[in-house]
Amino acid sequence: MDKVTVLYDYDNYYQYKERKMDMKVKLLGSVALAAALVLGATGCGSNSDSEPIPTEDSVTLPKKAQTLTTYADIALANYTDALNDAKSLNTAIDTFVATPNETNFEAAKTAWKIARESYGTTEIFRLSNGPIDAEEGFATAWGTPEGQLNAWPLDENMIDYTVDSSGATTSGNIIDTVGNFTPSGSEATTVDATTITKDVLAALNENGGDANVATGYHAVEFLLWGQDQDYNSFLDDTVTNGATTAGQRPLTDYTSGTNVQRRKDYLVAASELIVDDLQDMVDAWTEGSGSYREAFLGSGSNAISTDDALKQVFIGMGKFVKSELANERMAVAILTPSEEDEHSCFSDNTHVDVTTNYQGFVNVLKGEYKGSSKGTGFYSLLSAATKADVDTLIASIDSKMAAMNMAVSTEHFDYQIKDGSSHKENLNSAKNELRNLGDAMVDVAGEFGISLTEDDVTDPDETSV
Amino acid sequence: MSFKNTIYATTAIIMIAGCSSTASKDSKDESVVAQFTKADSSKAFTKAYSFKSNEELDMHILGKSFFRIPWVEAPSATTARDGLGPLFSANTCIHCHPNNSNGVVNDTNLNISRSLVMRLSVSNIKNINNNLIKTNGFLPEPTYGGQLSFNGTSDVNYEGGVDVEYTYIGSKYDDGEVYELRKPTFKLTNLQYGPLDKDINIAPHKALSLIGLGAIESISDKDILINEDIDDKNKDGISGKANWVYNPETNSTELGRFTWKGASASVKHQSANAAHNDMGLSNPLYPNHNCTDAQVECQNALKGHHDFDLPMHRLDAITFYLKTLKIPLQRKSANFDKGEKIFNDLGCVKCHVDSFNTSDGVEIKPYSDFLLHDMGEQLSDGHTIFMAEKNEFRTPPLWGLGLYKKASGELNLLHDGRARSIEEAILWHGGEASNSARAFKALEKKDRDYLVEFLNGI
Repeated sequence: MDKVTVLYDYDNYYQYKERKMDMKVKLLGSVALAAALVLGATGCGSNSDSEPIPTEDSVTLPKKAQTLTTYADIALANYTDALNDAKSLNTAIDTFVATPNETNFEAAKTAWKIARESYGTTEIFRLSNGPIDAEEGFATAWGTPEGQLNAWPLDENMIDYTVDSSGATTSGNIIDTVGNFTPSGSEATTVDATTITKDVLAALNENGGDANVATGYHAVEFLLWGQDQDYNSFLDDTVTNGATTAGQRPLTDYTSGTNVQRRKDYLVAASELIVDDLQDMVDAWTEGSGSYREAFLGSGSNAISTDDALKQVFIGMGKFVKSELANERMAVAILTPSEEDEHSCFSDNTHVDVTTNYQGFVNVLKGEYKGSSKGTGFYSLLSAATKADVDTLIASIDSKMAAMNMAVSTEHFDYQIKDGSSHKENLNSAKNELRNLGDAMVDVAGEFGISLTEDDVTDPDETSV
Repeated sequence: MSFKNTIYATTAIIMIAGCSSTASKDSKDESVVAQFTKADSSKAFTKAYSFKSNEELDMHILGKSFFRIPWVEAPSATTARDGLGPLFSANTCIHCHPNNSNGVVNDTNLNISRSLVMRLSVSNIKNINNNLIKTNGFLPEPTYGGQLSFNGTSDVNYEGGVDVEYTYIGSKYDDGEVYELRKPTFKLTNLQYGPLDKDINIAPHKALSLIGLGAIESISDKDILINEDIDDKNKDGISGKANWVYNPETNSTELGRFTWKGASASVKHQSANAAHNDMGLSNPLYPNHNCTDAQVECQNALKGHHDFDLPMHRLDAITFYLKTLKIPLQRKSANFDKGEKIFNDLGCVKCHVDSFNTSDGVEIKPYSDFLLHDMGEQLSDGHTIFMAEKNEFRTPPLWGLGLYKKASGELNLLHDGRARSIEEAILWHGGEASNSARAFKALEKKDRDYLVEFLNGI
């Protein structure tokens, strides 16, 4: 072959070729241009083997606007549920620290698990230049609390005592340090932690590095469950607590142990911060002058155009399901394999995270919430061919999610990821199909006249849209 | 090549695929598709290849996780990433290569950044340790080792810190425009293990950007060596010398093509070396902990609960990650072609070679010959390693240069970051590049700007 000079982007071409290989040519969005070149220049014939080419704006502007309203309605409903569940968690924690007994301890853990379910489905609103985690612009006015709410993985050693791999108890953490606390990392700043408050925890969070997590669901999780850890070879993982047992923090940590009051203060402050942050999200998505919702739906002084709003939503959905869920949360855990890399490693609740994260994607795609329609969904406006592709993927992923959840009765997620587990291949396939689902957003966007490439849905670090 | 040709080539490739309803088996074709990106944001150097298989993407993601997630000291509650240190500079790889770009001199607190490492060596006057010279390339300082560690784990004292002072040197272009260069003097501070050997040489080396490493590795030795001209037989003032280095993975001497002095033969070799020297991670290529005989605390410190802090599978994953990052495409602005002509006319292209082919036959434009050149006394770092003499540096690739500032936050060029702009970097060129630097000084302002515009677009 002649020398090929390489000074151009191949992403579109690559997708095109992939489809050609599948004998399922769908000429969408920007791909249509490349395909037209091919067909025109080479005389390969008409597109008889391909499906009809939708015109750029086959979805009308009013229809597009309807889908955005549906998206905003789901966001509001879901964040409202997440807020209410976080309030219940906060109440359960208040009850527990006032009367620390086994019953109240269990009730607090149950409240945490319930709160995770409603939060889990909101994560589809991430990576979309929206109020939860925008890097710049109008949306940042609501505090972009994602890093404070759900930062992970965390170095639990910074929060409270742990037992290290030699069996020794670690010290020098926020709870046992009365006075100034300086997180590790060369660029950390010192915080006066004499009294543990919301402000102190917020100032310590991600101070000195991404792993220095002091707040959010996973900090609360660690304070409720404690470590669920192995100390053998990390390549030959054996979780100390067993295949169906999560972390076993003793109740005495809240009754007769050392630093009882500081641990209680920490738990209360961390759960209150979650409530505050979710209140901001509800405010952002609630109708009203100056709200994010207003801008998102194309009104007010910060109005986002319909196509721009759609583009950021489609990119966010693709990135979240592919790069965040499939890659960062599942692939790393499966490949390491290490329970440190599973999302909710202390409570062994990762299967719920995975399921609800995925459910959030389906909700938004279909315009549904808790099984009921919330209005015109993106899915309803797709071509029959794209619907069929998406249906096939969703049906297959549904079955793998069900298998993962079924298997939890004998092996928690941290055991399912181990080499040799009969459930590992199921998770592996689910992960791969979730990637395909993320890539499918390129097709979905194309039908709305929005040109995306696989690169757009591949990098979770790239949140600018 | 011209822009028109580029479009033509694009169309040609699309035609090849478009007419065929079956998969092309041409691996060259596929690798072309996979390895370039149009991205020009701060994340331009972090894009993964468009992989054909989930297994490849898995390996990339795994390597990325080990490249970015912080390592902790052993023993820890996070056994997958313990074994940091006992002596180390940074706890992640990404720390020194922000967004996979080149390092900067100062951190956000305006201290010297950990991405600027201090290499410590003593000269081999007595010619006594030939085995170490053979495998290590130089003699490390007896007490501190080959590199100053800015950090230690809980029970192990760090080695020292570093201060920099700048001397400012004002001068003029031939057209009278004034410029100012800054020459750094680095001084080690707070040394915790006693005085340095009196024969010490301190060489500051800043982290390099991580662009197209897989492509560079795949260039044939022959294509690189063809530019070698050690004795300057063609009398153009440019020599070009290969560094031949010991690769612990293959236990053999190979062509060095990475690092400031061309001291690493492969991406894996360099990754293992950096893991060992910068983070204190033992690994199959550097199995020992990074402590000297004199550092008893370091030797006695608890180590990770496994053979290596970074076992082969994970070293392979990091290597794969680095080799499968997309190369940003050139961004041709209005005066790009004019600047390119000046680049060629000034002779820059003699060392910053603009075209190589990868093993897949894909053309890449790294703007380096991957050979050593004498850069003169002013730039000298005094460090000799394998065949590289104290004034010699490997030509650093220039691709992606225009995106450094976006990705790293600051533009600090040359081995010690002394140059704050492309112009300053050019003006520092001495030795074999003296004539080119002089010619640059003689350019009129408009032409200097064209050249910089070109360099920002490659």
